[in-house]
Amino acid sequence: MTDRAPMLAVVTRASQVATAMVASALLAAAIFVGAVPIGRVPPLGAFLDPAHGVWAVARNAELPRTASLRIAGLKDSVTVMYDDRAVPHIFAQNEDDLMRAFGYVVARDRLFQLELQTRAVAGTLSELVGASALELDREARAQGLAWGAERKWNAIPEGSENRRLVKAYGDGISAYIAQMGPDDVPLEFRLLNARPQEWKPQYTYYLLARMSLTLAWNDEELRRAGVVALVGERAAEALFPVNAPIQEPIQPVAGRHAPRIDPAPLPPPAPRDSAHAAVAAALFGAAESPALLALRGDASGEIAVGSNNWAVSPKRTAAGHALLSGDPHLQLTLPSVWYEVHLVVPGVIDTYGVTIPGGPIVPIGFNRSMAWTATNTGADVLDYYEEKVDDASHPTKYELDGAWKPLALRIEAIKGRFGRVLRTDTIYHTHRGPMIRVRGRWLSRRWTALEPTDDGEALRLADKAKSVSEWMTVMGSYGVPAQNFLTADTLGHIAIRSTGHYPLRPGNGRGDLIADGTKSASDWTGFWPVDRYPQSEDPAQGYLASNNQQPKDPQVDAAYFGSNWPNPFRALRINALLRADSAVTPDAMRRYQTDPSSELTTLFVQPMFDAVAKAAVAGAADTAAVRGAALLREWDGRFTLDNERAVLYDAMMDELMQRTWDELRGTPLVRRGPTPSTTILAQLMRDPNSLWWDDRSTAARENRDSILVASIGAAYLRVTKQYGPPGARWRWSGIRTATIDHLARLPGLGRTKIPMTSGRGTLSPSDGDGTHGASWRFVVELGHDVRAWGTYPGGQSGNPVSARYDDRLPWWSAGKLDTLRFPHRAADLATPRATLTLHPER
Amino acid sequence: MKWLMQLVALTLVIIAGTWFAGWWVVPLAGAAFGAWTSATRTTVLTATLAGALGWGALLAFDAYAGPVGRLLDVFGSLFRLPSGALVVLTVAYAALLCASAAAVSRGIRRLLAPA
Repeated sequence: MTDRAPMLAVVTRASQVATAMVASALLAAAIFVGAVPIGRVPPLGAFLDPAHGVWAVARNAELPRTASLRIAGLKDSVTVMYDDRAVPHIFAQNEDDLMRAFGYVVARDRLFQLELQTRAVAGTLSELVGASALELDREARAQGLAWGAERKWNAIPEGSENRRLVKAYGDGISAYIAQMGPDDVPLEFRLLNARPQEWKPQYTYYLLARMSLTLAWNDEELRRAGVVALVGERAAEALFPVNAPIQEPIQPVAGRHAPRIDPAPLPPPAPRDSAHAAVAAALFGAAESPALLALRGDASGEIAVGSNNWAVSPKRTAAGHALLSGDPHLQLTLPSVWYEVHLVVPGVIDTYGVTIPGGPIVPIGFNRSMAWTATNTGADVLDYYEEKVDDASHPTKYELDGAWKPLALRIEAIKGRFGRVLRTDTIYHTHRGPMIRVRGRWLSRRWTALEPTDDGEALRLADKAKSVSEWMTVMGSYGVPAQNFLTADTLGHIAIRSTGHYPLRPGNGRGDLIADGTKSASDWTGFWPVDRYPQSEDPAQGYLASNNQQPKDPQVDAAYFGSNWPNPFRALRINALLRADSAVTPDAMRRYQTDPSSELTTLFVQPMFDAVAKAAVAGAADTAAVRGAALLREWDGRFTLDNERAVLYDAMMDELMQRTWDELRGTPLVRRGPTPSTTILAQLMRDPNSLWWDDRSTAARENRDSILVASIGAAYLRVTKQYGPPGARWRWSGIRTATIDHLARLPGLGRTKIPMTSGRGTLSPSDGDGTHGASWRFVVELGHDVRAWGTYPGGQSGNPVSARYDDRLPWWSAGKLDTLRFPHRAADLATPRATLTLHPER
Repeated sequence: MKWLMQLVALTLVIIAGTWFAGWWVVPLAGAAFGAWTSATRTTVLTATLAGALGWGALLAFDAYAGPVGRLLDVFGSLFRLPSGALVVLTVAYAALLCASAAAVSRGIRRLLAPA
């Protein structure tokens, strides 16, 4: 026994050492994962901490009932009352304080959005999310968005009111970031193990640059040059025409009560060769960027962003007050692009509407006297010039009027998450703007969005306008992005103007052709005068509408304004509705926003029925085509949620487009060529034996009718394969749904399968994958007391855990609008959801 | 009874320490507990329970103060995990920190003690 005691002690000791070592290893591992990020996983200690970690996101999801704090720079106290829809009503004593509080309030709800959209423009997303964003950053820097925004900011005079107010707004955002505690850090920052960057006032202009990228980027030259390479000059001109074949312009034509149709036969496609296809592929590739695809939808197809606005004069409304409807369509995201706000300084401003976080203005909204809204003009404000450089690989000079001029260089170092430089790019600039290289050719780009103009100033003044005429006057200086601004006032006036800077070009004025960069004579010679813009005030027809269509009928003004205009079917529909209704109510305005009918359907459905009937008689129609046509005969032509036939029509149109425009794709190089608009297809329907109907992949020579029969047959097979036999699974509500991704595409933070009343050619068009749609809908009645209704697909909070993150989705999906509170005084808001009082620092 | 008192005391230290200082208080408290209490078989068990209970109590407060259910749904969608996984992970992590720290300090104490 005595011999075994030391042995036992040694064994016990060894066991204790082993236990301690295992415990040490576990502790070290736990502390390591607690303190250090591993891959995409943030440090777990701070992340899981139930007091200050991710759990605080839930604890702070809702606004405190009352809060009071001091922020630097305020002159007087500011009261912010949040109504039952979580809209902040900001009551200040002066505009500087108002802007400071505005910035603070926006940052409180949408801080990550501010960060992400700023970084997207600056090309610094990689610093936040890592190398996966490198190509987006390179693209942003090559586009020169931040470079242009800095130019704009630097051009605003020091001491000007606009600069001071933009700075005050930025100071408000900075104040929020500075006083933010660890509990207030938004979820996305925690997941990315990042903290918000310092806010600079010029970031407001970064935001404007981003809107310009979404709305005013027009690289028709590259697309058109690619199409020329594939099908020849004449055919390209007809497929992507300068003037829309169906004219229902924004500026009404006196005495015209119906659209003007300008039919023209399509010249046949020229023979294709592989060299041409290679050129086309390169040009399409240059025109199709990942960032643009995300912002605007599939650039190869029809334009996905389809906004609407219309206003009705008192003489055509039931209550005798002017009515205005706004329905801007954009990429749908959570949090939403818009943030609702009410800004009040007694006697100075009393404006309600939607703002884009980062912008101290209300670009769409109303005040006590008037309302305004916008659709995108889509004018051509971006031109390409083919430059001659001294060295194709490393250029230092470019030729202009026979002399060599030095290129300006911009060195862009893109950093990753921990400050390591991932890539350094050199961007070359001519006097026109940055250059890109396409298949060895150097193209420079001039774009109005990069010109040093101050577009915020005009919008800021417009927010305070008292009448339509005052609004039109102050907006005369507005430049980018060009918008069809529609206004109405309590005096009963309505007006519209396609407002923006439009270049005056030499020669025939065309901007959709790549210009010769070696001559200064190719340069813009100025900008259109305001009185030449497409516009109308109090027209005899008693209403005004815009739907992104060609603004002016070329018979009225033939000057080049743009090309390849979006389909006019939404314009046809709203004009038809407004012509038919001489006692419009606010509720009718609301219903029109999600009207389920399309002027497009009849153009294709009846010819298809006729083709199938003829083929059946001749014994040339297969069972699928006959069955498909029979089912489509049961369709009422509407894209309502419970409709079980719209799916078949939609599939037929897909098949028809694919089969008809095979000349523009189908080679290994050009898998995704651009698709002409449905208007061109409608035009082609008049020519049943056109060569365009021929499917080049078959030996037979197809015509219109055989393509229509094949399309409905293929559509029937496709739909039955995907959704089974006709029945509940064919219901439109389960098929055409909205997909609203999170801004940073974080899985689980978006919302999918949201039913929406939308279809081809309806006032609420959809792009197939449902990523674009009505970003804000509102109706304003301009009576003695201005009344308004509105909603957007999301919620006021950027916190994915908050009930206010997506609380408006059900009504948006149903096409309903909330009543907007528009109190005169803070005390008028009966049951505020929360109150925030901001005081000056002592 | 003494064990229960120790458990409650350590739990309270963890709650207060996490709230006022941060997550790193948990291993510190565990280590202190392992070092200063008499080394018994229940030391590590007590630390494990205190870590879990301390952060569990804070989670209960979070659930009272905000929509924790929505947070769990978001987390579950993000990482493709059951929605309760974040709760389990949080509580288990606190338990692991506290227990391993207590075990290390208890072990060191034993090793330093005269044979």
